[in-house]
Amino acid sequence: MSKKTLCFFNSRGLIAFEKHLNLIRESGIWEPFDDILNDSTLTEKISRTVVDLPNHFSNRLECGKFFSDLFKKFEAELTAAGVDPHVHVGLWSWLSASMGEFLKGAGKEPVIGEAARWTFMPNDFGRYYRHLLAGPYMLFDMHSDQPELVEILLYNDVTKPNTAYVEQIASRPLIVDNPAAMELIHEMYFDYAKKKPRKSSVAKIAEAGDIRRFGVVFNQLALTWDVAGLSVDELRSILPKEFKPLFSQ
Amino acid sequence: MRSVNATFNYTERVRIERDWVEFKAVSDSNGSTVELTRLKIDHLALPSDADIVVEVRTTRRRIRRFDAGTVGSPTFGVPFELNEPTADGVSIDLKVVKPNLAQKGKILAMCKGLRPLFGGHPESLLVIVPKDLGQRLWNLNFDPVSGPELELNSEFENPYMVWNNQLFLALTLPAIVKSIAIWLVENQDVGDDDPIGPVVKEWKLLFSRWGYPVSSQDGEDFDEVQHWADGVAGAFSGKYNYFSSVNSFFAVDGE
Repeated sequence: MSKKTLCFFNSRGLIAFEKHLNLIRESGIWEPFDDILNDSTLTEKISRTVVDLPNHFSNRLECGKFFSDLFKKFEAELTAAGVDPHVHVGLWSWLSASMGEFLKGAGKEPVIGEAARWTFMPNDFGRYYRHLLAGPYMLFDMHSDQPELVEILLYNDVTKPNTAYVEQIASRPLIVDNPAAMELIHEMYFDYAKKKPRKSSVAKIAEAGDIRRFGVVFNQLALTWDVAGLSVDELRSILPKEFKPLFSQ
Repeated sequence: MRSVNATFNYTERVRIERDWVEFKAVSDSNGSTVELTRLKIDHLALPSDADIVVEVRTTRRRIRRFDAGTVGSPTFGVPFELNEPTADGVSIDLKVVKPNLAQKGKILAMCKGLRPLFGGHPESLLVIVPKDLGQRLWNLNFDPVSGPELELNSEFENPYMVWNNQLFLALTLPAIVKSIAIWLVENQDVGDDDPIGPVVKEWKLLFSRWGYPVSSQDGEDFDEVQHWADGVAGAFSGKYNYFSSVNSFFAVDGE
């Protein structure tokens, strides 16, 4: 755990953060963000209370839950500061910088990857979930009363988040924000005993019955059916027969 | 090249034109709501017991659903609570859905991507004022009490419906937002007891939500304020994917 006062980067801080990130990306050498985190002209305080930021999450589910609990605890302070964690870029960049040692990965060379991993892109349906910290939070928050509905999206490592499930499901609001669809996806593709997707449920290219086909087929069905208003049984009944072998009932 | 599939409708569902539907959105310190204010689909001969379902896509990446009655008896003027701080940036789909057991949930008619009207209501941040502007389409005025007012040419058949025109929004709103950002820097220190204080407070809150707190600007350096305001306008355009959404308007036939 590291003790920090919860802050966010202001517009100058965001620029400094991006520059620092690019420096690491280009050099391949890790440099902590301490200088910009400690520069009071680049940050705005949300609360005077010191919070414990973990140095590690065992998986994305734990990460999502941590931030969900944290933001509930500081709800009044966040509101007073005009910070909505669902859309606030400065907050997530500050958190990324604060937890950079963990997010860079355990290997010799830091893994920076695409910008969306470090800079939250809340307005981009195809990228918002790729942020290493905000992604788990957004997905957990969507089903915080039933977190078992997002296990397939959050079972894995925070620093290696991109699975076909995340890409195919999280980018489709009609699926990811649909409890019945998420329940059906877990029935078809998730092994609750092993806490991970069943083997061979993802092919490199879309194959009959796999998650990539599910995304495509679901989009088509949404043109004909009010998919968000259907129960799990009703969804099962409209899926084509290629998916039938995956049903448990 | 445009997708060929996108131009065909194999589903037998009926298209509801955007001009036939109107929603109002309200955002204030108590939260945000959306309500159906107009629906003209009598001529479509849809079953009167078919359900009207509304799906609101919010900036928090959520889909909030509510029932708006039936075709025979739509529910007008009942605010639906979004449970989010703002209705800013929402996109609305309206569906008419088969209610009976045989093919329950089948979409009979649909209208996608509607934006609610904020203008003309006291709750609105950017007040819309129809005005005789000659050949000008719009003008931004800063009222000493109500703050930024978007004056729209009163010769428009329905100036408020301009808010549902994506091309107009994409071409004008970023510039409007930039002007408001600069105005906000100049007025950020007005007190709550100042007539314009509450409006300034609301705009400051909105800009913070976009990740551009006005408190980061002291207004001393003109170039820096301009740069910051450009950033706000850019972020705003990105928020609504304006380029992507209007690019097709300028496509040359055959390409």
